[in-house]
Amino acid sequence: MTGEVPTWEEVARTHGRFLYNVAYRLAGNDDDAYDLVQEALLRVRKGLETYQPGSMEGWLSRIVTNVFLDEVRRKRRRPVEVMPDDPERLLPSTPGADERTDGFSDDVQSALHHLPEEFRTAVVLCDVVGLSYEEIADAIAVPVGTVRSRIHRGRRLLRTALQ
Amino acid sequence: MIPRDPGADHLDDVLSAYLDDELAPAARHEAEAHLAACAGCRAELDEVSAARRAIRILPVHAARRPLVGTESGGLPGTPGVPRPPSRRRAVWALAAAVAAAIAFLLPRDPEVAPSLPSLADSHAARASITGDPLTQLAPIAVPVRFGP
Repeated sequence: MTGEVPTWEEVARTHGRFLYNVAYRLAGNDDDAYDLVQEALLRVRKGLETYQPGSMEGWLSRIVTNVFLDEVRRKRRRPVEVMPDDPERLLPSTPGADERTDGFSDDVQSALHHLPEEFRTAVVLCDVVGLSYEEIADAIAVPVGTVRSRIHRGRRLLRTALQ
Repeated sequence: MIPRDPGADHLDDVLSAYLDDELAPAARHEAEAHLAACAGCRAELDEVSAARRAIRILPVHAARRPLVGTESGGLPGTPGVPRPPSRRRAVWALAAAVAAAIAFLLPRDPEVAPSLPSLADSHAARASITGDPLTQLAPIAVPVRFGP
C-alpha cells in the first residue's frame, strides 16, 4: 500500500472477501450481498480521503452495515409485506423450499436470515466481524445497552430456530 | 430451556455480555455468583453460548462473481467505468424497455390508427373462408398432424 491510506483498489483487493462475507451474512443472499458491496465500495472511494488510519475492517463493516440499514429503511418506507409484531413468529418452523438445508452452515445461515434486521445486524457485527459492544453502538448509533439486549435476544432466537 | 423462577432477578442479557467479556470485573463476579446458584441461568448461558459458537464457526462465504471490474480494474460507477447492473437497476431498465416498446407499438396519432370496424371486416372476411362454419371465427392455429 502507498503511505498510510490505501487506494480503493487496494481495499477491494485486500478486504473484498471480508466485505462480501459480512454483506452476505447481513443480506442473506448473494444478489443482495453483491449490491451491498458495490454500494459500499462506492462509499469507500468517497470516504478514503477522510479515512483515519486504524481498523480497516472495522471501518468497512460500519460502511456495509450502514448501506444495509439504509436499504432496510428504504424497504420499510415501501413495505412489500406486513411484518408480524412478535419476532418469534418470524422464525420458520420448517425451511422454505428455496432454502438450502444441506448442512449445518446452511441451517445457521437460514436462521440468521430470519432474525429481525436489528437483531441480525448486532449479532453479525459481534460474532462475524468481532466488534466490541461499544464499536457496534457507535456503528449503528444506539446505546451500548441496546446492543447488548439485541445480541442476547438474537442469540436466543437463533438457538430456538436451530433446536 | 430450563424454566427459571419468574419472581427472581436473572441475568438475561448480562449472559451475552459475560460470554463476550464485556462486563466490568465487579459485574463479572456478580454474574458468576448468580450462575453458581441459578440452574436456569446456567441453562440459558449454555443456549446462547451454543448460538454464539454456531455463528462464529460459519465459514467465510465467497463471492460467486468478481466484486470489481476485471478488465479495466476500475470501480463500478466511477468515471469511465460502467457500473454493472444490480437487480434493482435491471428491473428498472427492463420496465423502461417495456414502456418504450409499448409506446412504439401504440399508434401515435389516432387519425392514422386502424379503425376497429375495418379490423372486424377483415377478420370476418378471413373467417368466411377459413373459419368455423357455425361460429364464423377464424382458426387461431393451423392444425398439426402428428405421427404417420
